[in-house]
Amino acid sequence: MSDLEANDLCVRIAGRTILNNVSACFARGKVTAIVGPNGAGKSTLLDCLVHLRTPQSGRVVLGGQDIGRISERQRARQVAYVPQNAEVVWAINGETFVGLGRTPYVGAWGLSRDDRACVSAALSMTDTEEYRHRVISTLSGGERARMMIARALAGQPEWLLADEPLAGLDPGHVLDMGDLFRKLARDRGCGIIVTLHDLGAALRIADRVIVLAQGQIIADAAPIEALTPDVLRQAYGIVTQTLDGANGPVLEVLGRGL
Amino acid sequence: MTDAKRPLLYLCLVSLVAVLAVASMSAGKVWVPWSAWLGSKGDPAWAILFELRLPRTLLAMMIGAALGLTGAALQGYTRNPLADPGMLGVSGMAALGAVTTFYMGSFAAAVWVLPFFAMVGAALGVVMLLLMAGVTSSSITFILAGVVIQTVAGAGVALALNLAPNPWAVTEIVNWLMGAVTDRSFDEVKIAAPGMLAGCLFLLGQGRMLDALTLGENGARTLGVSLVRGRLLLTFGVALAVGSAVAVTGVIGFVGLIVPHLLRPLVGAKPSALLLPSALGGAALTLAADILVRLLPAATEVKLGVAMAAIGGPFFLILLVSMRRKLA
Repeated sequence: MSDLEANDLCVRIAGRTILNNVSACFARGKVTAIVGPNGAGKSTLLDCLVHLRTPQSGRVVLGGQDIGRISERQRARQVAYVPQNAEVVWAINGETFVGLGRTPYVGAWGLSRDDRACVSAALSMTDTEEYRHRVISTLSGGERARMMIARALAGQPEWLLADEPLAGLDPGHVLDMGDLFRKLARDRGCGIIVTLHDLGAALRIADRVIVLAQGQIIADAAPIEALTPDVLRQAYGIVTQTLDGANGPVLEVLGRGL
Repeated sequence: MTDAKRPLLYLCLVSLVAVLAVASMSAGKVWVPWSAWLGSKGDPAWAILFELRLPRTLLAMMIGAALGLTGAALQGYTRNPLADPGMLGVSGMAALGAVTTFYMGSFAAAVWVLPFFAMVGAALGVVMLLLMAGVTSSSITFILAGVVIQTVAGAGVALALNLAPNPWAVTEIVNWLMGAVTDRSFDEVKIAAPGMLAGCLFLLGQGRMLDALTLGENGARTLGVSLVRGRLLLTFGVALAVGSAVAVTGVIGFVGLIVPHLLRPLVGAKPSALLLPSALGGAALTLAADILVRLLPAATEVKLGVAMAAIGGPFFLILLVSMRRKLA
């Protein structure tokens, strides 16, 4: 019953249809990657799943309950969200920033000792302890992206939804982050839903890939079954082939289709 | 700033307020000697101390705290270091309410008439604000609505001056608008205290929302913060605190803008950590300014609001320049 479901979501913004009858059921303990071309509706789908946006029709159900009926605090305890290019206004340091992830738990008196332990754990999981005392605005894009994940993990959520969490990371940290997502899903039963542009990473990291194009789901299956040449030609207009690499299948992009 | 140093900062600020409060009781045209503190009730020095200086000192502390806290809360809410307590239009509407009583000549009827109308003005300002911007609009719309109300209230005050029935009314209005805590009694303290206290408590309770807003409105929402309830509480808090302050002392600017800036380098940028220190800092600054206006060798006492702007402005500028140099 702890599933996160999207049922027939339709979203129109300024007369344009962004999502058209999108339905998907997500299970905890799995990493799901949502891929698709720019403007396909990936971020809008995430917004609906975390209740930042209410779809014109359809509904999102979390643990059998309409997500809009769950209290703000309760929802935030269950679902953590990492947006793309998040704004950070004041010159707060890394520790304070990650501490904000405890907001759904804190009362009027600030962080407790347990809260601080969660912050430290989140920093060590994302290999960001060295940024504890750095001001967030002085971090590079990739460093900040890892801090965003740390902030989300500090809340020990059941669900982690992240928009482009790998954008701006160096290859080493892309691998680390992928491993972290898999570990969180496997060991903690965390449900992870990420949007990705890197199809190779989707192939490696995800248990399941949803391909979104023009507001509709055109494939929803295990990575190797979803990222087929046919689907990718339809979604992106590119020609690809899948090769057998040393560590499993590898996706090669051959060029633009004609 | 580390958490270990925070009690030290509070201790410093509380002692500063205490020292300034004692100074405020003693200093002025008449210096009250220590012996008068234990004097008897009929003693003129005792009367100065407890009937004139005590309410004045209490009022300066209260409005300073209310304005400093409101400034810190609004800067956090708007995520803009230029926000000040006048921003939501509440103080302008309170001033308009008070000015109306001067215009009608009814202010002298009873001690509560002017504050009452000022509070009605503040309440009206809140109603206008919520009608114009609602509770679910973006904070930009909300702030713009506040600025519009402040402008309209300013126009109303100007109109009252323009159409004033006689020159005395004009003088009364202008004098009052400059803001002061001179010649106030315990009546004013009693009128202002409940609203200010309630308003300050509302605002102090908003730390969690203000911190979460560091990540923007969507960030705060996904952290489980209800921005609708937060905005309502913040609006009522500001209205109660600032409305009550303006009602008994007129418009005293700058405290709410400058105090959070002074303290931000000491407590760090986290908005919730700035709330209580800003209240203490506001009390200290207002007390200091009020002591200063009493000691200035001028034939007419310089108004507190005027002194605050005159000293605060250049001081603030120097502070900003030196901070920039440090960063560069």
